[in-house]
Amino acid sequence: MNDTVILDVGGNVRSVALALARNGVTAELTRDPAKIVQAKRLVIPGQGRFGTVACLLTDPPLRAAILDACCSKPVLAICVGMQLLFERSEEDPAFEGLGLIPGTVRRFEEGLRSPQMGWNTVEGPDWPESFSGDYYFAHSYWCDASQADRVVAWIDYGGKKPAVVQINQVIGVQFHPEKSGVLGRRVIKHFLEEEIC
Amino acid sequence: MLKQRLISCLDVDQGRVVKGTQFVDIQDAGDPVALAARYEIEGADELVFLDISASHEGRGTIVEMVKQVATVVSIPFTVGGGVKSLEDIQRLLEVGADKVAINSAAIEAPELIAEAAAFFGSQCIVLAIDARGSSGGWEVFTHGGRKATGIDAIAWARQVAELGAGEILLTSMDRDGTQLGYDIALTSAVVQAVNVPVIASGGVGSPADIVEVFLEAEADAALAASIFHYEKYSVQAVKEILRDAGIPVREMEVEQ
Repeated sequence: MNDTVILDVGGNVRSVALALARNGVTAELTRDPAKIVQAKRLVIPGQGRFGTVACLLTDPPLRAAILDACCSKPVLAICVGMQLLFERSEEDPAFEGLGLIPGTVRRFEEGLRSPQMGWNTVEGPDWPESFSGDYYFAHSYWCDASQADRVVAWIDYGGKKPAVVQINQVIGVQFHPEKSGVLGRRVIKHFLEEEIC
Repeated sequence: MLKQRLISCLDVDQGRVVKGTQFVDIQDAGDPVALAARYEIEGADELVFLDISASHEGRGTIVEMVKQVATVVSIPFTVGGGVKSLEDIQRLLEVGADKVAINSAAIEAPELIAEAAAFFGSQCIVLAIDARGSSGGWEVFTHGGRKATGIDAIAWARQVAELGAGEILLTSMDRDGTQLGYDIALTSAVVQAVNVPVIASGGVGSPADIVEVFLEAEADAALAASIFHYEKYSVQAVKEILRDAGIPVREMEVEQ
């Protein structure tokens, strides 16, 4: 459970670092592509807006390091981090996501309170029962995955919307596990214990 | 579905909680870290820390408090009170606050809201609005509800939402401290006027008041402080009553 790095996207990245520390993992905050390549695990936190994080990806070495991580090691992508896995976002159309999961990140539809702020129930046929329950969400855009088989779990907010996605050893969560109490800690612990293939 | 939230509020003066809950087994009733940890265990959905320190020096201590609280809580917490600038917001977020509430500074310079939302994201910017009834409507007050601004509270709520506030913390200064219940008309008017989540605050005296503000005013969250003092009601007891009234609330998950 060593050599975990957190992509430094600014804002409150400390909560994620503290959540990892609670599991005995001292993670380094970094934007250095070399450190990301060397690390055994990567966390992409969810702070700011799509453009803030996608902007970091316009640096070729950093984009390459993150893509490489997404193909070779466990990655936990949180909130905006999960959105980054997709192709593009209506929030900042000028920027590209990583394009690992087909789909567009969209604004919530008319009539839905935005941002979705609070606890919502995450469930899915492939989401373990011990992880089912309420997690904390704070977002104004949602991931419209065009392939359902990438979606591991859902919430109901104006209809079913993806809450957890997975590709390779990358797990994207729309909620904030570092702010979701006991269940959130369970998700983080599981990520840290995941075998590195 | 999205649950309605029960938020515990702690007033902080120079880094110490004042008028906080007197939990029997917490020796230091003024310790924000112990209280925050305890509220999380009790099942609070979120916490708000309001810095009521009078002096500039007193306000500096909130940063240290946030740093310590962040190490023990795994639920979201908002910090407000005397936040004046982007730098203030940045500092609080960097040390671990999830959301920052701004009040008077936004009245003086509404562009601060748009700048903060663009820089940090709407979801971490809470607009605190203190309102009193006036001429058939409600007027925004600042400085702890003492200074009238002449601004219509509903119009201000609309404006802050448009500028990018992610949430509104609405306090009825008429009801605050009275334990006569939330101002349902005010809360309802703001909830109907905006598309961002609204936290109702001011006046709760019993769980029935919280039921009312959720069912009648359709508030997204209810802030409570005094009903938890002296362990008058536990968080779980309140949630039980909310559940019985058909209000969707977060179930407490226990450590396995």
